[in-house]
Amino acid sequence: MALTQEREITVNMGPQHPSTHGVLRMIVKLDGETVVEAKPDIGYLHRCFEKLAEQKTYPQVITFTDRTDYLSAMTNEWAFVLGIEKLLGIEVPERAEYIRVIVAELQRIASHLIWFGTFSLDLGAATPFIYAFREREVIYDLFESISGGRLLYNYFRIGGLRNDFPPGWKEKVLEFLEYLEKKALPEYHKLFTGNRIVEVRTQGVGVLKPEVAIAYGASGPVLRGSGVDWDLRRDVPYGYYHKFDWQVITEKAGDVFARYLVRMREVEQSIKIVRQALQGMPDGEFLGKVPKVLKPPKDSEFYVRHEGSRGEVGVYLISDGTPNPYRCHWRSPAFVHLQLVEPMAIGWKIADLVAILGSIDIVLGEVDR
Amino acid sequence: MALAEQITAEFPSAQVTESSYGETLVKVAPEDYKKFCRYVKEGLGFSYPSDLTGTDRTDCLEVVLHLFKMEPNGPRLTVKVQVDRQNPKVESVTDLWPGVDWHERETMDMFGIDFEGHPDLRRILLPENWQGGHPLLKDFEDKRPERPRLVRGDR
Amino acid sequence: MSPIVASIIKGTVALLWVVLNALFLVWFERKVAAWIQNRMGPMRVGRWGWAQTIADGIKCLMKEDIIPLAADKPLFVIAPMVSVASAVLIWIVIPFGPGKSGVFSDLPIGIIFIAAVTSLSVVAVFMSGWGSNNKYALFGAMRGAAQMISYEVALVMSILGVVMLAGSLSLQDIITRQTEAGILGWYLFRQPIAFIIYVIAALAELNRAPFDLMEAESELVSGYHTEYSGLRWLLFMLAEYGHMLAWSAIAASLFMGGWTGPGLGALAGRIPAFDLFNYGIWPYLTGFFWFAFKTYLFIFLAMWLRWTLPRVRIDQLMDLGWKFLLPVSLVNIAATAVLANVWGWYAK
Repeated sequence: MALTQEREITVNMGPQHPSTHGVLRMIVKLDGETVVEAKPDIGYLHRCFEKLAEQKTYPQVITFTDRTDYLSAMTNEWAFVLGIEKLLGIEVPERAEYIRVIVAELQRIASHLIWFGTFSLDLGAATPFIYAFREREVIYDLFESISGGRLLYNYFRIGGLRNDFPPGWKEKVLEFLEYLEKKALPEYHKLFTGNRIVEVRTQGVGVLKPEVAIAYGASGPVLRGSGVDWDLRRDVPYGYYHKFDWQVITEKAGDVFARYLVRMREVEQSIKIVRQALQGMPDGEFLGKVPKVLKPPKDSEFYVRHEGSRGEVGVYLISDGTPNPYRCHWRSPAFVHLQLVEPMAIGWKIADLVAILGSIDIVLGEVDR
Repeated sequence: MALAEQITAEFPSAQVTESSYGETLVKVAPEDYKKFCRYVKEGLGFSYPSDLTGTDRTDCLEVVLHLFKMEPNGPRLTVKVQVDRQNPKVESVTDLWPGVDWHERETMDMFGIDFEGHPDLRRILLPENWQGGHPLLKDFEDKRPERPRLVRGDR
Repeated sequence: MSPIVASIIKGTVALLWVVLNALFLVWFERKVAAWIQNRMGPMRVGRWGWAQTIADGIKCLMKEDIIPLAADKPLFVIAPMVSVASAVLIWIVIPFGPGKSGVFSDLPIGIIFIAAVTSLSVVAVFMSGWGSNNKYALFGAMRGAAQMISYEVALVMSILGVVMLAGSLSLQDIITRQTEAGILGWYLFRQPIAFIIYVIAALAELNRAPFDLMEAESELVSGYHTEYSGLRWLLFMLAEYGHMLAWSAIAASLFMGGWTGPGLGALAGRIPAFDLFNYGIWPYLTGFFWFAFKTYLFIFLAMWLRWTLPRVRIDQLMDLGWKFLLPVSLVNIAATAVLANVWGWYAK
């Protein structure tokens, strides 16, 4: 092995590495164990979403939106569908709006659960991972029974949904929420949250200041973990969120632990929302009146802001009057958050880099699109 | 004072339109772009850079910047700047909003727009040795050799 | 029987003991992990998957032997062997049963021998990390060297308290000394601080979670044995479980009376017929049973911790070792010395 006089060592983490959550490559410069530079290299999962979307009609694109962030497919479909509904001025039936809220919040719970599992794995604890997957499995079974898919659903339709609940679904959801709230979440907290090792590994690590978070365009739990009281579900309302009683969760500290707490407490809020939505749900249609061929007016454009599981999902649609979008841009929160890794990780150890990377909850399918 | 009036008072050359979906669309000239962005951030308080992307308008390229304020139901501002298709160049705004760094890199990658003053303008989604041009341009042609399509049964 | 032949037989038996236990331990660990995680664990190969490790072992033996082109070949090849050697050598001095025939070789300097032999595993880790010519492996090796050396200090210091009470470095002597005062004579009760330090330091020495920094999967892929596969990787696994077994056995011997236990022979005082159990092979059988039982208690503890706790960070690990465990163990030694002189029962 050649000996050089360099003080720093460059380590190539990824694209195949246990803790890059997909195919992310980090080029990390280390001084001993301390991170001096951490440059993410992305694009390994680029599937030409935007170019493909230009070739397809609007309803066909919905299936692609599933595949951008495959852990949060329901919220992605909603974001895209919102944009077209806005452009065409389509009214969505009341029942469909309720079901949308329910499935989106269940999806948020599922996504946060997966995040909890993988994050604990990043810190070196294998057991919470299995526990989280056990609960997520139930949600996926629920989704399977309404949409037929377990990961990619294609459940949303422009103007509503593909189909209504199957009978007995509501009771199953309520039963699961009861189990999650009373049994699973306390178990997680007992196993992980109060653990001294978790505390010393995460508290004070990777602090993100609120003004930096805003200037970088951070969103979702990352932004709320820095103490910014901002949630698009409440502040730029869409859907029926204003009808329910729930809170936006914020944590002041801005470190890895704060982001962890925000997500865990958001699960509780989502449970609350789903319960209320299931209770207040009216009968009626699940698909509104929608023309056979969807042609938004020429040169109309709209930028949707939607609170996905990971943060602000933006869909920028430009129509040229044909059934295909002229331009469809997908702004993904993880893409923005990944820029924050380097400023947060410099000066911390390589083990902290992994924890920070885990705490911003990236899904590479969404980063690369 | 409404947002559109404020902008026209400060930048008379900017074309301001209100879309029927509640967005304020502002078209500025490339030379005014940076100055306008600085005004929008520091004067009007649009602190949240949601998105920056491009559009190919076939006669020109357009850089689109979506800006918001951190206030509930706040104004929605879309800044557009049209640049020459042959020599697309525009100033970078990364010093105003560091978060648009990667968005600008992606726009360069996909449309070939040169952001002057960007600290690290490299390809981001496509490989660094990609020679095939900028894929989101409307006249993009995939020049890679066509691979035979293998379907079960016709080996 | 010449001493050389005797040594060879003893060494082979020790090796066999380690291999058989490692085979069982891998299966046992997977079952324990599965039990903690609400899973079934291996179920396919044999009833309850009992032959899973054997199948895995055969698979590893069949694999292509890969040595990276840039590796330092001699170091790369020797490292796993050194690792296994240190795991097997410890067993020379650990007593399975009473008397001279209960132990391979009852060295009068048993504790020092153990400390010396386990230091070999640091060498093995460093050889593999350096020899692989891989940055992750090098990081793992660096961490391993730092971690094992610093925790060995605390480990030996914690044992010193026991040695002072027993007045001997031989493990057989330490065990017999403990039994003199019944179950309360166990050094677990007389040296509780030393016991806790021993458990923590031994976990670090074994590089088991929460101290598995040198093969930290989420950062270093798999640390010092990143480049190893097939047979050589198998040897590292064998050494890891061999060490775990050895350290648990030492814990059982030092703190919980080793092979002694309420055997049937102890009833001889009340029921004369049971006197039978004090002769022949019987004391060895009960001794072995209690020894294995206590050892497996510690192994289960190590597995339980591994599947429950997350991993600490390298600087926190070093802080814990040097700034907490070492001073506490030094205080413990001083306290032991004072107590042993002041309080007669304590030193008995």
